[in-house]
Amino acid sequence: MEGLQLGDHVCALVDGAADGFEVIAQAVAVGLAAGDRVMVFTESVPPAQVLARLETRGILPGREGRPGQLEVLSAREAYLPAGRFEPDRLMESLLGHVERATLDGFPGLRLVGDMAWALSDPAAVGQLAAYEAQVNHLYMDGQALGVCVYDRHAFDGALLQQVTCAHPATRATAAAPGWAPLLRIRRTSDPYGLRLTGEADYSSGQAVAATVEALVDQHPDPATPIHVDLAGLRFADATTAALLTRLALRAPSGVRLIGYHGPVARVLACLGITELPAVHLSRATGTELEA
Amino acid sequence: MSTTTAEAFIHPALLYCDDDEYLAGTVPYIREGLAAGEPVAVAVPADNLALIRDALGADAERVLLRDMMVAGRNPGRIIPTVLLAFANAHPGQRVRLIGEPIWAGRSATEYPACAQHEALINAAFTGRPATILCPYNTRLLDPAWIEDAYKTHPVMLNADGGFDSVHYDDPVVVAASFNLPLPDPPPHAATLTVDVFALPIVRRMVTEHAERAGLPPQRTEDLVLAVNELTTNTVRHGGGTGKLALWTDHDQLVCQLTDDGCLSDPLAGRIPVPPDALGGGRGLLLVNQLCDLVRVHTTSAGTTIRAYLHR
Repeated sequence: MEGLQLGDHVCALVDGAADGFEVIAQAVAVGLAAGDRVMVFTESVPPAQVLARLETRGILPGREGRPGQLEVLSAREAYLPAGRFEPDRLMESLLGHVERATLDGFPGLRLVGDMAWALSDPAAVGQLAAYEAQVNHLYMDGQALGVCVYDRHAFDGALLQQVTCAHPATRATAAAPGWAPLLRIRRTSDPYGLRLTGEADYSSGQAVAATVEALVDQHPDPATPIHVDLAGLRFADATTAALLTRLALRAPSGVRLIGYHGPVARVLACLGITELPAVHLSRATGTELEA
Repeated sequence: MSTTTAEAFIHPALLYCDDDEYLAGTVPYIREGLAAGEPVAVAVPADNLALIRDALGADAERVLLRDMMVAGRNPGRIIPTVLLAFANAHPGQRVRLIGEPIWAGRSATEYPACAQHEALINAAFTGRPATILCPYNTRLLDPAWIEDAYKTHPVMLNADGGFDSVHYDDPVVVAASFNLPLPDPPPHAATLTVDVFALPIVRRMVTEHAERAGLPPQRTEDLVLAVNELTTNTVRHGGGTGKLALWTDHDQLVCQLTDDGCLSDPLAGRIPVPPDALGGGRGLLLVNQLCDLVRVHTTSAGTTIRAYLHR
């Protein structure tokens, strides 16, 4: 969890409640040390008990900590406020938490959620993967990060695969030292666009797909192409390349692809994407190649 | 010329035994196409390409000439990147091609994929206004391969003229007759059980293996991209998990994915996807583009796909 940065959205698969608590405790400790606000949404363990267990381990803000730096809430109350799952309302409420953290002077907000609450609502289970893909909109601006804890003994395997693909990165086993998310998705503002860092494959496909839609829908100046910074992208599969095509074709002024290299350059060329009129190119060398 | 002829797909095999018969069967065919204003492409092995180029003289400029040993090294990519690519580049026009995918150096491992390719041309071009002539060297090729040409081509041409092949059969049925079990990987093959979480591990494993085998960096990237797509298909369509095997066989690297899925579409990976298409369907196409050979054995009990890359 040390490798997390604001903007990340990680699916943490755990083995049972004890392992789940371990991940939550680590995420809290790292978040508090970074000076960010940390909100924990707990399900299996009641909030008071979470606080007590964190205290036992010495993971509490302490005297140096800022008031309100750590909040532990009931996941079921947060995610199912009216007794049912309403993704749009939930997104709004999370956005409110992010804004409040900024107003309170925190550099960022870390949301750590035990997702077992979803099991109490069959409708929520059906919408979970779509919701996890949508919520990337919240994280990609880099003011918040999310750690979603899923107990692989409690959730169905096929659902976990869908949920995995809705996150840019998944921690599938106890993370080795130096672990970092496989993919980072960030929205850039000047110039407006997208930065992908790491490796983009099937396991992040739905996250990238949801990001592409949001980028076009929220483009402040459709007369300019959307900048896509691929300099830090080490790998992209055919589906990711097709999603970049979709971005290029949906954006009124197309996209400008920047810094793509290695396998990413190869897959874009093989699929003919670099030939599209809506795709403007700036290769890694920095030389401008208008397509 | 009647409307039906203008729109029909014509797919003759040309049986030849020497250079003279080769040129007699190909050059007038090319000139006829040029005279009719048809776009013409020739994709044959380098030696034969040189023969045709010399015989055409100045007219060679008007024909797209491609070395089939390069463009069609992997028979699985000939339909999308050579034949349909040419037809699609000339929408609304009847096109004329020569495609020679089977030459004397084709190995026993490659041949079933070549025969499947020849059969599936008929399926891929149904209703397309195109003529594709496929030369077969009767002196150098295995007689069994010539017999197969009668099953994959509705019309046969030789020095004496042309006739309908009575052995021509449903292309999907003929292709299925080459859907053959693959021998087991050698005992020294590296193996890995794959699932959605294994994709980065697969890429690292393939990279290390390719580098150890002395593959140049660009070819290593190609292999990594290809195996990643095959693994993705296994995870998506093959029941979520499967098995990867990886080994070196003489001068080639071989990667195999086995899973519980069934590849039911015989044209999967053979139909070009326009760059501006919004759907998927690019995975196997990319694999065909990047690899030197792709062999598939698929049944209702499972699928094995083996990709080969030369060093």
